[in-house]
Amino acid sequence: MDPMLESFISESRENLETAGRCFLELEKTPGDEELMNDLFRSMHTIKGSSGLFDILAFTKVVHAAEDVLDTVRSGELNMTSAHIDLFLNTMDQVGTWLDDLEDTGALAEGADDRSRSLTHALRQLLGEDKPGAVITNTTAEVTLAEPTGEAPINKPPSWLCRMPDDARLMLFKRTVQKEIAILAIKYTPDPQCFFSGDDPLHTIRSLPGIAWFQVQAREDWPEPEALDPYHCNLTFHTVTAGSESEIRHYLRYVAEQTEITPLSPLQLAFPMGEVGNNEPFESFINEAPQILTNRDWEQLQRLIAPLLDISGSELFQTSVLRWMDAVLQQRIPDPVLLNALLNAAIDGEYRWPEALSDSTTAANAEKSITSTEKVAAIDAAAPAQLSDAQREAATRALATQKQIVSMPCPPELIPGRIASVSTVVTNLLNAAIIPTTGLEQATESAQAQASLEPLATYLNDLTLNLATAAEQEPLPASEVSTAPPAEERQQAEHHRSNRREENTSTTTESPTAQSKTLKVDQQRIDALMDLVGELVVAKNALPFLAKRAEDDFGIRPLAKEIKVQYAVINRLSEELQSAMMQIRMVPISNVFLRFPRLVRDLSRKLGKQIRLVLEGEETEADKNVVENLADPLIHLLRNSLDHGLETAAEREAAGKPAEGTIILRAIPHDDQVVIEIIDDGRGIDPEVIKRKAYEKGIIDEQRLDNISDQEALQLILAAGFSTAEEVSDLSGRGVGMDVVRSVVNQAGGSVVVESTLGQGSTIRLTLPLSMAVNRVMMIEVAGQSYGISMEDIIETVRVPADSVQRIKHNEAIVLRDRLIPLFHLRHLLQLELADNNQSEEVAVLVMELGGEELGLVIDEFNEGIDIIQKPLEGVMANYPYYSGAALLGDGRILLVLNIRELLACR
Amino acid sequence: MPINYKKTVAVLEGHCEIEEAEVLLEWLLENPKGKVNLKQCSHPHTAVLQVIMALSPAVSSWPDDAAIAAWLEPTMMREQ
Repeated sequence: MDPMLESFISESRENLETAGRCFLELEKTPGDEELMNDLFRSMHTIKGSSGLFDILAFTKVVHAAEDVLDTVRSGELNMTSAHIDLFLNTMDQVGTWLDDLEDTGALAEGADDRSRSLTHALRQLLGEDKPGAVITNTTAEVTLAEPTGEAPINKPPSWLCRMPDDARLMLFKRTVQKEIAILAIKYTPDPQCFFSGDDPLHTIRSLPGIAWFQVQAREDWPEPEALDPYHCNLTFHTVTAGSESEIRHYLRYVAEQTEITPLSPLQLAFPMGEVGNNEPFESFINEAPQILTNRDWEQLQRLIAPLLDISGSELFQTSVLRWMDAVLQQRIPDPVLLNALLNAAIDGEYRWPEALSDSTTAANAEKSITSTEKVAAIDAAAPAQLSDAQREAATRALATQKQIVSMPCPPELIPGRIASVSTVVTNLLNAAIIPTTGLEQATESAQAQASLEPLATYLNDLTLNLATAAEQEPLPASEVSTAPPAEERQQAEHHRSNRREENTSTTTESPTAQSKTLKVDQQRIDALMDLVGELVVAKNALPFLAKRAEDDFGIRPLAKEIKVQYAVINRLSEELQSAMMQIRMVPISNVFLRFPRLVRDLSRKLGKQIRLVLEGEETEADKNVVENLADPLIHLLRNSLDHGLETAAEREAAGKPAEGTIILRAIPHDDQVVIEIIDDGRGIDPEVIKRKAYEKGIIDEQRLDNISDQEALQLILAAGFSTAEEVSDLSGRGVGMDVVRSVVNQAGGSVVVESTLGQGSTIRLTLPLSMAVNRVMMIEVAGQSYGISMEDIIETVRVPADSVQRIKHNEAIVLRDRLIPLFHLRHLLQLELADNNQSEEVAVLVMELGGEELGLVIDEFNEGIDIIQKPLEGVMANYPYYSGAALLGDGRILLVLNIRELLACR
Repeated sequence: MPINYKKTVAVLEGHCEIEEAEVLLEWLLENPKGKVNLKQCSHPHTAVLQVIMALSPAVSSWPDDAAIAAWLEPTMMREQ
């Protein structure tokens, strides 16, 4: 798998766990800021890293969750239990997706739908609902490409009026009556977007089929000194032509920051410009309405064509005519639109067709594009500042125009030439914000006289005026504003740096989150562990060597020397080993922290009030042990919740507090860790257990008679035992407890059940702290060495053979007033029984298994040693009464016995 | 590509990265009459563009790349 994805998965799992814990804590202590921040940070990290991969469904959901959390954090939204339910569900889904990613490298099928519904639900908390951006009418492209005749045209976003006439006209001609979708996109990047590596400008520029775009400041620019360059204060407006899905794909990571509105080409059609004298258009205005009513498009076109040649291009009326012309070139011109355009020519103001039937035009008046005002407003907002280069270019252009008017010209071309010169000069003047009134007069009189003379005069005057203006050299606006006094400037600087600090502290992870942990692949640790194991074995060979030096070669001083060296190596290897153990140690909290959630969910489901108390979660144990614990503990907790604890009413009736308590406690105990699950519920009735066990054939009649209550309780761990009256979906299928027992036993641990009827039960798991190195006692039976785990051994005794008592078929000894049943290991291993007469003493290994003491009769005790126990493989794996094997220092194989299994096979 | 700071002109070349934004801002604050030369600029990072828009320095040379000039010029003109 991609290593990046791998680390994303493990990191996100951790973050999910943190988030889950925070949610539960927040439910108890709402408004805890630190928790809220932790929560937000973990969600933010997940979201941030998920963006690296192509898992949009995933990103969207966590993004939505983050947004909601943000409003909670800022106090705009109060988190309720219902909200937390939704969040926890979301996080479960995210967790499942992480599993999918790990297994298949992709999200499971249906992730999009799932994502949509979750995002939807989350966004509803915000009081908004935008699944994706605005997916309104995706059908627009189809329906609007064919003009529907009388249908009103919806007004496009108001900012569209900033798109220049010619750009719109070009786009209109390209798209009209073709099935090309036009999209108006407003992209307001997140102010903090630079910190997540966004370059909004680049995003916009790389959009396919971009027809026009514009960048605008969202808020007024602050004083230059107070400007924070890393706070995005821009809004992008753009119009694109091309597939909507493609555009959405490009913008998928910023979908929440964009507003995508599908446009019809007809929505592009509105005139703009400066309303000029209506005189040249008078005849047109008089004739056109009638022609329009007759729908004589050709006649209308004929009427428009000559006017287009003569009128100034910047004029509002010309713009109207150009649009009418463009609309008329369609196969089926849209009469509504044409009518609206014609009315615009008459009134000097364009109203959207839908507004025509609307009598309350007050609101529309503001939105209709009053040419002069709008253009003037835009110009005023941007006072032109000509650079030297621009001024130079303008002067050159003016000079060329002067040349053109002074050149001789055939009379039939004069109107066209006047129009073109007038256009160029108007453009130049507009750019320089010089009133064009003089030019208009000149153009008009030139048209009237059919001579270029008035224009030539005007241009001469203009160049003269410009030359004098240039001498005065007006200061550019940016220089006019004097720099603020130094003090003020410092303050601004200070303010700015403060702001930057704030920004960094909120967006980057706080340094405390970067703990100095090293993440290492577990396989490497295991490899190291194996090496340490080899070393221990190699080291164990030294005493044998010393023995040989002394016995076989008779060099006693060398033997002594070897033993000294052995002591040193032994010490070092032990330290190495314990250091190695430490590396593999993880706190039990890794497992414990999953339970508050489980308890919360189940208690809500069962309608019981339950308080979970975690104790000793800082206790450390080997990673494998901790991981193995998770499943058994879930079973046990479920059992306690379902069977152990009563409902609030039952509890009150029994005189207990309505809220039940479950204590989950970890206690380090020598080389072991003891985990207790204590509930104060109804307890277990041993009589019921006995009867049930008998009914199910787990015990026979004889056992039923002599079984103690304590022993009876352990029966709930037996396979196929279930006391629940009904099978619920939580527990009670009779598989849980025996699974627990077998898992714990496999890990080398044991389970004990204690209970007092009416007061509660305790289930105690005892597990080795570490499974890597076992301390075993070597014993000898029939000339063969075996290992027995030291954890189970209580003591070793030699008792006189005649002190062994027989009770029916069983042997037992009395040791310090306790009756201890005896088992012969030879018997259990089906070896020849030793000749009892030969020895007057029997060696008894007193062990504790499952809370019961028993004695194991063996031939000889040997020393205890540390071994690295390896599981048996191949055919040997079929013998469960060997828990494993280890290599001894002299090269022999030591089989380690699993006494529990051995007794069970009996 | 870094911005080349001359005496009165900051020459932007190629793809101007986000890091340049702060440097450019400081330069423009120190040189209020400083101009920017965009001739060789193929893409300013949004943050760089933002600094130019906010401080609206004189532009000594517009980008050679017509595609950029086409939107940059109107944008800048409006801001000025």
